Amino acid sequence: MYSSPVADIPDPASAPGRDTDVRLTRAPGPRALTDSRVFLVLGLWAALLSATQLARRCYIDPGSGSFAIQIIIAAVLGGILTARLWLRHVFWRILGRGRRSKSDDPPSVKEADR
Amino acid sequence: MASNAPASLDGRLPGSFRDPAGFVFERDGTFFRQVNRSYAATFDTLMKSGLYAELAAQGLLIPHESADLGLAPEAEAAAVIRPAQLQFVSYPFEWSFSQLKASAITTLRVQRQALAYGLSLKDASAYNIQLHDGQPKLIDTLSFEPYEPGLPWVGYRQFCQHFLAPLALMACRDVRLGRLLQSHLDGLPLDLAARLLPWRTRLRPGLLMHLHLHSRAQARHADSDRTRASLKGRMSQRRLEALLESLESTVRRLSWNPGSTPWASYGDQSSYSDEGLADKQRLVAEYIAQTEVDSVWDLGGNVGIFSRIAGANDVPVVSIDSDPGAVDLNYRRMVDRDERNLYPIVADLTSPSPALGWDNREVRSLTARGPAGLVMALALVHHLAIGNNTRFERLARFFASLGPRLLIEFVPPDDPMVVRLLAMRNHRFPWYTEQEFEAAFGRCYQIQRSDRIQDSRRRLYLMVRRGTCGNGAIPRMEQRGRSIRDVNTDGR
Repeated sequence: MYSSPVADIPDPASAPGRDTDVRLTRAPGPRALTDSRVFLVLGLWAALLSATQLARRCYIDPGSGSFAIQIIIAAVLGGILTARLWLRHVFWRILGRGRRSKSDDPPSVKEADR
Repeated sequence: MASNAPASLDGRLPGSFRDPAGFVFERDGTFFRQVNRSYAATFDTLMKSGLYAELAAQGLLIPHESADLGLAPEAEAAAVIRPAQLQFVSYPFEWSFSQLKASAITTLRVQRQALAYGLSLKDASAYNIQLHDGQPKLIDTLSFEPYEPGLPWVGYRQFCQHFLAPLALMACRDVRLGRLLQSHLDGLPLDLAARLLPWRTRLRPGLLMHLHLHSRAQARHADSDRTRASLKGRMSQRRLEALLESLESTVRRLSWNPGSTPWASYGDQSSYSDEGLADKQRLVAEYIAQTEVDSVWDLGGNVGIFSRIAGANDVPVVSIDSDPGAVDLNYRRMVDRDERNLYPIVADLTSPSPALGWDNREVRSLTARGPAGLVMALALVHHLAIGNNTRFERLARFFASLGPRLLIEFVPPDDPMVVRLLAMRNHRFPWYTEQEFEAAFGRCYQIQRSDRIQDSRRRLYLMVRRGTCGNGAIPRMEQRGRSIRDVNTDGR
């Protein structure tokens, strides 16, 4: 659990012999101090996080995503091609074998997506 | 290959260091490629499978012949080959839209052929393609690896970054975005390309898949720990072929109309009468015949009218212009007419392509790719002198640094084109006179011949460089801390 280090810091306003105006202009109040500490901690955390991310990114091969999308695109395109060949196969079956030459034989669907 | 490429002590080209399969080296002005022992088996497969013969016959791969193994700089050599020598090396950021597109299609055709022979391209770098014999060809003979069935193509990302992304940007956003390749030597980052492309490109299936979704996939899988081997069995050869077909059709559907740039139609709106133009063409042909040079650089070559006159005797001509439309038209004409000695490139002479890459030695600057036997600067001097505020002395030194001979046209201050250039300028150019031109160039060159063009006040000069010129000496003005432009903008 995070405990605020602000609790250990004495309130400058309670210090003896301090003028209030001087305190406002020269020394941060407890609220301001708390805010600045919180911002400091958050800033450090963010910097550490981004540095870690940056360090990770430096070692990232952007090819990983390229391989992944390539496999997906190729699968989609292969599927379209297979469907097209299957439809053509069905078309010829409906028309009947006698009306086409042997060279028109479509490859089997399984072969097409080999 | 360009004969003046700087090499290291053992002759290795500084830019040829990444490939573990081998490298390019130079011996007495001839370029060779060493094949390392680790690559010997694959090289053997390439040669014996019939793939090399097929690709060379189709003009897709640069042909080579075997060379003496003793030439190799390293003991690790298994073979040495002597590829057909390139006349001029240009880089993708200097190519016109059509040349980049043709190079992309060449890469895909090579890959499809390779698959049929059980090999695959291990990269898809645009720097592996060069114009040779009027056709873009793969010049890296060691770019192949055995195809492992079931694995995705390792060159896919590089192909999209080097070819598809810049082509899409040039076609769908602005052709000048091709110059982004100059600052991104490994191709355009896909997230950048996706962000710059118009939204409507998401409606084109090819661009949606290979650029937009590809870019997102890169971000999503950025911290994936997967290895390439773990993907084995996920992609059949048939699917890979479908992917290549899709890439090719996406590239082929990208088009750009070069007539939309300012200079692309300039060649047709010439500043000469018919007689004047005919006389200029006759004079240029005479000057060229008089010089007997082995190469020509046509600076400000536009659509290449005079480049073709210069290259009439099969002399290689590099036709340089800053207008991508003019260069594209030049390239298309070259392809249509099957011209094999023309090299149209996009380059801005006021800021020529710099040396780039590792140690600034991978990609050579434009000026380092000379010398040209003859430098032609027709109807150009007024653009550089007035448009770029550059004095004649500096122009003469620049031209002299590119080659020993100069064919130059002086456009007088009362020429309509010069008057137009001066119209919007609030300072004058009192030094822009024929006398000053001849005096300044006369210090750098010996003027061999000069003729006034008929029906015009313009004049052509043929000059030969004096020994001391073009060595980059610093002019006194700049030694005193004044820039070249300061000197000129006040007209003094």
